[in-house]
Amino acid sequence: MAQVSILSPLSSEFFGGEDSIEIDACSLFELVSALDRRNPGFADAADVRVAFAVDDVLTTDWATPLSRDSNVMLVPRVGGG
Amino acid sequence: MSKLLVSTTVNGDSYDFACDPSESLLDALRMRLSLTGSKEGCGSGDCGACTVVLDGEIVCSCLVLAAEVDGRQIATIEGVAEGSQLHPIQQKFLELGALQCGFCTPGFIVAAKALLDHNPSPDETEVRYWLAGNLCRCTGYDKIVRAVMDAAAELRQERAPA
Amino acid sequence: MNAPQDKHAFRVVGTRPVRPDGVEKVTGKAIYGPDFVAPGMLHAAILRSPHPHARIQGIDTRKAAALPGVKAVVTGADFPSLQSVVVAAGESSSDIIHLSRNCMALEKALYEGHAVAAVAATTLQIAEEALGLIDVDYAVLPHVLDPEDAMRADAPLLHDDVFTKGAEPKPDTPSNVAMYVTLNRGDVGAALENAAVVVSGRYTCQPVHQGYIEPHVCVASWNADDQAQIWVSSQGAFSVRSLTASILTMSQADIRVTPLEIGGGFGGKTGVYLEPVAMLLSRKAGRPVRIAMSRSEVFRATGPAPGAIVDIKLGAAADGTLVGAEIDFKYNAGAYPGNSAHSGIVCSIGHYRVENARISGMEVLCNRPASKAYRAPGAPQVAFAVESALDEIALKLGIDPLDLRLKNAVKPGDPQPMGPAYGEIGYIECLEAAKAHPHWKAPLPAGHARGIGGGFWGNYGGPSTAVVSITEDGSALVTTGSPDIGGSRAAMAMMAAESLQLPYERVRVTIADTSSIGYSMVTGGSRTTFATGKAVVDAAVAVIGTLKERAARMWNVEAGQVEWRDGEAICLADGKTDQRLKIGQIAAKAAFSGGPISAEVAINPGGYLPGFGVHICDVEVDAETGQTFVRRYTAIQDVGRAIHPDYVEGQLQGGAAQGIGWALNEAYVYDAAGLLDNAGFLDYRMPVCSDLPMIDTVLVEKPNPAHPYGVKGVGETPIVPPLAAVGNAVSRAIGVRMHDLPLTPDQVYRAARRKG
Repeated sequence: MAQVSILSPLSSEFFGGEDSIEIDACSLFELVSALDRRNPGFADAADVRVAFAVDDVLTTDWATPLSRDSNVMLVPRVGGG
Repeated sequence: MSKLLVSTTVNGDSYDFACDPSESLLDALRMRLSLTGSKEGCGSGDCGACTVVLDGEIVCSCLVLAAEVDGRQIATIEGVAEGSQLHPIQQKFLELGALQCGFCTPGFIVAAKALLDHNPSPDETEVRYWLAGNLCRCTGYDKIVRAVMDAAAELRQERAPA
Repeated sequence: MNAPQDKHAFRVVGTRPVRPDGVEKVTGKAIYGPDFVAPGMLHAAILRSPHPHARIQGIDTRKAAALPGVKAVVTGADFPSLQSVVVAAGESSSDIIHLSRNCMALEKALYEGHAVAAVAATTLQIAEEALGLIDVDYAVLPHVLDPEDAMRADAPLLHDDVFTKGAEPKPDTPSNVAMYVTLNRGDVGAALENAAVVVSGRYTCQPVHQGYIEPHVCVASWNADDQAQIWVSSQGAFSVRSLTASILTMSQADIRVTPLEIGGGFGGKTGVYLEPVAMLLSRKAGRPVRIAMSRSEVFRATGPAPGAIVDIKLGAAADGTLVGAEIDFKYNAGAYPGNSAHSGIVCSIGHYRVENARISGMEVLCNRPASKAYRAPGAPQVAFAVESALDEIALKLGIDPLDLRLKNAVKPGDPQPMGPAYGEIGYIECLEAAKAHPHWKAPLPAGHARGIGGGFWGNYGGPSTAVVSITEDGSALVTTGSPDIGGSRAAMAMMAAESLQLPYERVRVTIADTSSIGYSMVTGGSRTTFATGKAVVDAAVAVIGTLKERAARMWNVEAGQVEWRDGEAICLADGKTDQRLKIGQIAAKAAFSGGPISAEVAINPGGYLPGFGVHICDVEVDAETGQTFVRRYTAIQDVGRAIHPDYVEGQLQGGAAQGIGWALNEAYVYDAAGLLDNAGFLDYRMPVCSDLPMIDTVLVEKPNPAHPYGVKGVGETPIVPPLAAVGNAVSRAIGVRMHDLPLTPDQVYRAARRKG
């Protein structure tokens, strides 16, 4: 069970205001699928609007293994110019 | 509307072309003569990207009608270097990193050359006011001014009697 | 590979060679967007809405189509029907339907200048004449230009399918508020109640255009077999490809986008405006089509940075420790959603440790061109308010403004507002460099005043592909998909030369089209030297591996017995230690030792770090006219490592100049009918050469461990500090806190008179 914390506006947009969820997943790929089953539409948004931090490190590698103690943060992706 | 025939000299070469009466010199240079070094930034004489020298004076070529240059002499960015020999202004722009995107650079070089051709020792304020008609959005002008001042110093040395 | 600490160990990195594309650019030979010509190309013109808000009830193009010389006419109806889906757009994201409608309206025109039809003809004059023959039946609607007006219950509604994202509970009524983002930590109410000083105020700034001197231009050629070519100057050819393909429902491999030299972008050229229109015209006409925007069209129809209204309350203890922040901001975001508000939250107080904070941000839509990224999108607006409030606190507590910032500045390991802890950041080092700088210590001449502003931008990594190949004569070619907007070719050549241990002049850089190299994200977001640079270095390192293997084969030794030094293979095997092979010797035999020598690296690197900065600004205000003169300016920034210092300094100077313009002069002026009055460079007043002094820079180098040469992104941070640096200087000059940008002479004059 990874501990997932969710920042605004993702928490309100996709998770009914919940900002902390426990999800059973072994990788970010699985995590995104699991969150999408729970809250449809999240997977599409994850591709373009979400950045993921695993145990305090931002990572673009969705195959990063997750364990029971993993903390995952869903961060809105900030774009530059 | 029928076209007008223009015979003119650009960078020392003779050119003949036909243009619309309302056509700007900038458009004629770029589209009729394929001299695309002069750029359009605004089309209204506010940015200087189209700067050329017409009978010895710098002008915004977007504000000159192509028909007006019949029988006259034009100098553009394409004529600043002599063959492959860069002008000291061009050399200093390169050495001091005085360009980023480079779009405004031809206009600045033509304008700066016109300044140094008649005032070999401008101070910083004179350089800044002379170039106030050339907009740059990338550099903040710092390195451009330094490049022009350095080029001026080099030209003074070159021209100084031995 | 950790960044070497000792920069003096570098032979190329950190020097200032001439850029490889330089001669073409100083001689006028380089081909920019507007310079490209395709044989047989037609010229197109775009009909734009004269109304800021109107329903389009019908468009009759028959007379236009019949005009001799007209080869194609398109309207919004020619665009394919799309399903709503949010796609990556440059660096941010937008609904593909909105992106399509922004290229050409269908149901409604949402701003003056919104494209409604286009004509391609044999000459531009005929195309423009044809526009006059197009009949558009508009039902004019009331319009709204100001965000607080747009939020009122009775405000004209721009979209009936935009619902406030982030609102709780999820709304079922459409709104002009596209997004609402919040951040809460601690107990800010209690913190402010117990604070020794609380300052509050409303700060505003206006939408400003990126101001690139080169207008948008493209040439498109779409053939009957579905394959297409687009020639365009863009910050990202791959972005042009993907957005055009999505909007026109095409296969991406069918579009080849060739990036031309680009005359400035700053975030404004990361998407598409003209390309889908040119494509549709080309398909109909069977010929290439060129569309060029005039400067007036650039102002009326392309995205500025949003303006903002920021309400702030900032509290501090007696010793200057920041204890609480309440910040609410509204972005004036133009006609379509897409510029997310969370960057404003991150960059508001992300550079300080503030235990208690309640921050909210909104993106509000109105009948102006849809906003687009500018440097550090969303950050300067909110930082202006925060850094001004900090200045007020400094004055009230009698604390030196640099010391106040030093006391509260974030350090490595401190938490970020939205995300994990900070890595090796350098705000403290920048503030200390400011304190030690001659500018800070210089006595102020009579009549001058000094202000400072701090700030940061998070920067980015993102996917990049790079190829390094060795020619038969042993010179090196670097190929990337990252357009060069300010000297990046030089930086890539330098990093490759450093890694390969070759002279800089033996390494040449090409920026390839989308069919010739794998994907790269846009040149923007302060990512290119970091991410594309890392791909280049990794490819160079891979090539060295290959060169050593080939040398080993040529010597018949184990691969591990070869060292690469100074551009040569050195044999370490017993009995052969006198053997050397120059790169040219190995390359000449490549066909016989295994094949051509090259490596491609495609990565999405993590470990990018934010860039922090602080600017010092001296001004003199003319009491008679209210005009502000910037007399001295210093920009200090942690750059990680400057690969080519000229071009890094250039980013600081250029960003500072843009920020000065934003603070003093730049704004859109609308008349009562919602029409733009100042759609040109005369009255949209950007800084000119005589407005500015020399801009001194200090490149603080605190290397990023995640990049082979320690690079941190540098391009965007420089626009964040200047708004407050200038605002604080002017406020101190006249003794009145200035809240509303731009600080035009009439505003400053009136404020000074009221005080006096």
